Amino acid sequence: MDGRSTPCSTEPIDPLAATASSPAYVELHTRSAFSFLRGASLPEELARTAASLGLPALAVCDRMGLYGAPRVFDTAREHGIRPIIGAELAMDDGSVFPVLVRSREGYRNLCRLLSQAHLRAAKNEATVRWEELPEFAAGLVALSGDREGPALRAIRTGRDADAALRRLLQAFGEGHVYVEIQRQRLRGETRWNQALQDLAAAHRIPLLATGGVSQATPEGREVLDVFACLRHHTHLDAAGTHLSINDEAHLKPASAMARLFSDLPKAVTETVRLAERLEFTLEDLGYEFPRYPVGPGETMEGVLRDWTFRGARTRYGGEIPEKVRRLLEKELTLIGRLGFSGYFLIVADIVRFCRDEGILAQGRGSAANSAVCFCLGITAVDPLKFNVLFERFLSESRKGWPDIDIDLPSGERRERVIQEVYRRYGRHSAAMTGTVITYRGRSAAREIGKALNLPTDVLDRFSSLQAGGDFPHTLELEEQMRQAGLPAEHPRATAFARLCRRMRRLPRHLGQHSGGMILCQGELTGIVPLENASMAGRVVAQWDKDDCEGLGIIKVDLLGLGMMAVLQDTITLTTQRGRPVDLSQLPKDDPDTYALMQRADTIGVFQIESRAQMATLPRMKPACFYDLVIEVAIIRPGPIQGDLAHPYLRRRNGLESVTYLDPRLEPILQRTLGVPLFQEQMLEIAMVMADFSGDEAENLRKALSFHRSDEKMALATAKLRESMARKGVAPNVIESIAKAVGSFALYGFPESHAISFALLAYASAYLKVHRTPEFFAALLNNQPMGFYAPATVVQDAKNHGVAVRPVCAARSDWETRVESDGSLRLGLSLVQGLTASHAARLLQERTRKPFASLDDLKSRSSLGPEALRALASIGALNAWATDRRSALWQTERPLRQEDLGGGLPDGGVVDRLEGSASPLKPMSPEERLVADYATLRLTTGPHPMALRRGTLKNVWQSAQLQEAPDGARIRVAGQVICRQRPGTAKGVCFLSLEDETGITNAIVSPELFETERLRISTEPFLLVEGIVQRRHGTIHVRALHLERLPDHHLQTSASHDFA
Amino acid sequence: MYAVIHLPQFALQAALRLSPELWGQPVALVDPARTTPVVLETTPPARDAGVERGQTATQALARCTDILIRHRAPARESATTDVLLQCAYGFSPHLESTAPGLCTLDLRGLSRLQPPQTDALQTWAQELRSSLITQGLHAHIGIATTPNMARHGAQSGEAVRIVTDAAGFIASLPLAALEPSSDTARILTGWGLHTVGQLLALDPSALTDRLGLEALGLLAAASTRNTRPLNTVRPPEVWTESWDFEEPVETLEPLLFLLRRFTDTLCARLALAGRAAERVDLSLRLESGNRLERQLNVPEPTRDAAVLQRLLATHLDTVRSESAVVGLQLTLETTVPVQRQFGLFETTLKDPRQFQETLGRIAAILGSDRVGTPVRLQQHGIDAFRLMPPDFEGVPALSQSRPALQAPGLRRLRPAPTATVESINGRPASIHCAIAHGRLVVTLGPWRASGRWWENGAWQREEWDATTLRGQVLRLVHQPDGWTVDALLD
Repeated sequence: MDGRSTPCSTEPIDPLAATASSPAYVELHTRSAFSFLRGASLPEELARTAASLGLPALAVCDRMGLYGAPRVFDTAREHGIRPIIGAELAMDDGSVFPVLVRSREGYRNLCRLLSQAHLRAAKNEATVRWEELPEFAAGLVALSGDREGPALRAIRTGRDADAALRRLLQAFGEGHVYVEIQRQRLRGETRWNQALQDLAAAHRIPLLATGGVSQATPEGREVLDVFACLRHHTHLDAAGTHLSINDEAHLKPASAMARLFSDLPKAVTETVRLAERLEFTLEDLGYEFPRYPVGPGETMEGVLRDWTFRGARTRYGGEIPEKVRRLLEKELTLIGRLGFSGYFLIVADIVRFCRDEGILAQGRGSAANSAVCFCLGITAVDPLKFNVLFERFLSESRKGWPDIDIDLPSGERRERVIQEVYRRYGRHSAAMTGTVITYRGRSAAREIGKALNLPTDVLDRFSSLQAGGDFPHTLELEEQMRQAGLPAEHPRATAFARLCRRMRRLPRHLGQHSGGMILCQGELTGIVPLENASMAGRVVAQWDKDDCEGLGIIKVDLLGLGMMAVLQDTITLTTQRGRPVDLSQLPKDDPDTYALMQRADTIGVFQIESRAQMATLPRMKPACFYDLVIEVAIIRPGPIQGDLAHPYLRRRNGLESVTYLDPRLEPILQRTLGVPLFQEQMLEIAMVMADFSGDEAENLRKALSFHRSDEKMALATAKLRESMARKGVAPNVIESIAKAVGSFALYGFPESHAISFALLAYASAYLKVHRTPEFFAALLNNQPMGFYAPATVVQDAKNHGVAVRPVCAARSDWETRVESDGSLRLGLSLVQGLTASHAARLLQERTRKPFASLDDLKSRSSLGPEALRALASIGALNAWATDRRSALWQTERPLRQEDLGGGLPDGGVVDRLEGSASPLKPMSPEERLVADYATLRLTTGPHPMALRRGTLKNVWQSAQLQEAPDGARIRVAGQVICRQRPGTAKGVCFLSLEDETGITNAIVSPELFETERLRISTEPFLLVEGIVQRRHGTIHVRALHLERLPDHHLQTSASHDFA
Repeated sequence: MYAVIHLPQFALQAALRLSPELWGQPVALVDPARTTPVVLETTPPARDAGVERGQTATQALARCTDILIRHRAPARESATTDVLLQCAYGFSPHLESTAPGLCTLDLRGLSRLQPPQTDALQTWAQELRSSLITQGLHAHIGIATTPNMARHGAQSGEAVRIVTDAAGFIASLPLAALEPSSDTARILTGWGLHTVGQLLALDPSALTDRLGLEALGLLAAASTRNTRPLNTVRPPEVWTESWDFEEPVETLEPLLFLLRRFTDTLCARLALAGRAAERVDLSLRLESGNRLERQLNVPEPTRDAAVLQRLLATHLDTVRSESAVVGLQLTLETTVPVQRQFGLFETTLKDPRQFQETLGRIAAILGSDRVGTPVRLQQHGIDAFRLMPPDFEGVPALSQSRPALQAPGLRRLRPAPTATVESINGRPASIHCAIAHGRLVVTLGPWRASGRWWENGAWQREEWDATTLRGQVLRLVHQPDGWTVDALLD
């Protein structure tokens, strides 16, 4: 018996008891990479390594945080060792020492102490004050620390070490302080350690051997040195003594520690004794979701029932159908039994707040399976209509909390909702969940390059070559380095490549999740440390959403969706123009809306505007809402990687017969023609084909959505295969199912989710067809969003017969609006160089009294010269000038006393025409185009390609491609508005070229992409020669040759690349 | 009359002066000092391939895959300016270093140009161009009655431009010739103005109204009559010649041939300046990428080329390089002998030059990298130091107190004798070497250190302090190539 339980064992672990026969040691001072630039290994790696070395327990003490604690907790338990919670405290005097948690009280105190320190400081500058320690010391044990520790720091600098130790003793009390002693094979440490021993003896404090670990294995030292460079803003050649002197700060087995401290064996055994005292585990967090306040005599269950049935009567027009009533009763009973009533009430209350404030809100995710959620107004999907099952949202076998995500309009409106939640629950009881930003290929390479002192242009080239995002498939790291100018022979190339691999996936900093909020009954600061986010007014937890979920902390996702903002703004505009539209009352099967989808006219339409979606729409030809649900779900990496998208489309178009891998799958897969497309279907398959219980299916679901763990996924699929084999499922069927499950692991898309998204897609398509100007105005006002730049949106609006009028200082508002004739008037917000405050002043003055002249505008609006030039150059001042140049000439003339409203001293009349007669030639069309793009990034005039059309010989326009025969070799050209190279496309790159007549899609083979990689990535205009391919109603040009088009210094709009 | 020498694409000319063959290849010059290095200059083949100024190196590579990226080198630009001025000085003693790549010469007093006839000016300018061409520089020369007009002439794009119709000439120039500030240039471009003539056609008062003082500056720059005094300079006293061989050189003769030419030219220039060489810095760039550098002190300052040649030949006779020579640079440090008055209690060196010569001789024996004042580097490496040239002015006073010793005296052994060490249970147990042998009775350690893991010079060492039976305290070092005794402890 080695004291380790099997992975995933649920047996209680008592590894310390099993170490009696072997040298016993517990590592109690370890920093993970979550100490941000002070540790080189992930917590999981530390726990795994500790287990492999035979350590019975491990304490990870990250600097000022518990960032890695849940990961240590998970991995340690999986590998049969005991996780000990601790943190390094950075004190206000510059010293640092670790504290370890003894009890739940200690844990709560540590969280509160860390939160208090973080919340009063700017990000990354938190320190603990010595005088506040006693208040939070109960339940904690303090170690004296390493070279940064108060005692050793005093010894090394010749100050009073005795006083430093006394300070610790006063704070934590006798019996709760240990003198830490480390041996890292450094010259000089013998002397320091002797002083520490004397100090410990003088105070009768136990000595404790620790490793002062910063890396799991010796190899981590290199990453640690790079981190030291980043911390000190230097490079390896100049870092000198900031670097580690050796690689000894790694985890060591008990035998090695026993040898190292053979003269002090008690210091080693003391670690085991102390570990035994540290009883706390993260299982015992004491978390409780907030209770919804109800009136006297009321219960949360009662209130929820009342709200639900009231909502049902509204939803179903007064009389609740019996089927609905039965379903609601069933759901409410289960909700009540599981104790989730408060949760539903709180979420419903947030949605109600949104409704009261006029903010669109729509629940998505598995909540769309719940009739209660539908009746409470949380979701817009009637689960009865779509035959989705409540059990997928909530069941007794599911241990976790239900997951309700609420989509809100992005921007200020979502922020109002978040601030309302903070207001209701207090900044100490509500927080955003964290998001761990990790080093990825490009960011890691840049930092490593800086540390290795490589030339900036090499790193720039390396980054440019990384643009595809999934280069491991097509461009090996070494080849990428060679192309960037760092050949294998370069003396630092080997180290660069090694570090790139080691640093990938290490945490870089803690960000905030886009919308996940966690709430707590009582103080959340006692559950997880909170800190200030970079964004003002936001508080963020030190754990990400997976960590929170894993530990049973409930989150409510308040997600910002640009399209929600577009929908809401469109509704507002249509109401203002007397053409109101009610989203909940949209006709369900509007033929014009489906016609728009079928012809892939979907720029600006939610979810189905990407190049891949557009290529599929003519094949899919959605004709009803469920078709749209499938369209939304099918063009996803999951179905594409699982090779499921094409079979579905072939079956749908009658090119392949509908068959089932196994007759048992027919009821599950009937609605998707025998092809599994949704996560729910995968779970049902597992239950039917592998006899998975609800619990096991739930574990599989978690594994599917648990993006960060390949290990979890491998375990889940292995179990699935094993169960299917045991049940006698044919090997080829097992293989197909396992492959599909594997694909879903990365990007599983639940049906309920697809339904929620399809609702938004339908609404946006409907509004594009029936409220075209308002829809385009709203799209322009919510940029950046979606796939296309404003220039393309404007072009699309024009293609739909909407006149787009230029920015005009006499007429434009801040936002783009619809004029009475249905044309769009571009807003001042599009003008680069014009701040919102300046524009507000201009609009305020214009409202007060229209501007009589340019001088009047200049004097009253207080616009600076840059803003005036910007406006003049795009013709926005033409209301007071004959042309743009004339306006530019006038704007440069300084205002005189009489222009400022004082009039001439002698009472004479100001000649308002003075200065207006411009000697300059008006701008040519090309000059206007250049000016428009320079200031607006778009033009309401001719497309840039129209102006260069005359110089292009034998180049087809996009609109002409309809006549191009399949297989013809032609040349097309355009502004590159989208470059995509999805990981699912096996290295193929898709280009969208926009010209004055539309968009041409080009396909670039992996080979051509490799040779033309930089040209494709960087050129704003391209000419493509290739073969016309007509497939399933779509036209592509398979590129054979690429050329750049001279851009005449036109600063074009940004393209949407490589999404 | 004034003449202005303009070296177009000065930074690129400076970068390629020693590699003229690269002008026939696509080359882009970027400035690595900028946060985002962009292309500053390009060769004609690079321009033909679509590489433009302002692009990033990545964009340049996208347009021309075989383009050579060269970094801007301020040192080369400074050297090129020196050559330009020294060359111009041979044509007129009144010269101004106007800007990088620009040199203005006052032609008054040059008898061969009086009165200034076009033919004579043309011949003079061509001679000046030829002279610069021999130095690897391609110049445009403008000649006019005012310095500004001469400058515009030089920057007009013609090899030699003698400005006669000043008004017509200035009107045809692009606005950039007046060097407006970037803000003003943007305004003028916005107005659709491209030539000086278009600017001059505007009402000056309206222009001044809008552009303020800068309008006056632009109008002055466009003036055909305004003149100004030159800020004359003497050519800098830097005497360097260098050469990059097309093929690696493996024998002595080509080196000596070139060095003779260098010394003849340089000594002639020294004679004009009244200086003498007191030190010769010779740098040989090797094919391996390394350099062989040597400072040869001239026992007595001289401008006698033969003396310098002997000195160099004697030195080169003893040089054995690891690989062929691909480049050569010769720099003369010059002096005007000075008299030094010593005080009664002077403690500095009485004759630093003599001392220098002595050091030079020592360096000839030991190698120049082994002579100097050691300065400790803030690094973990045990011998992490570098040698600084002796500082005669800053010699510390002997009375300066030293901190009291708190540890046993350490006597480093250099070179450290190798040793055979037998270990038991991972600890050294006995030693055999030139200075100690036998059983080790007390051992402390190991202390481990390693560094420079990021490139070929990686090192790692494990140190032990050990006492022999005879009471010797040794510092033993174990490195991948074996054991050494690094020091003795008293």
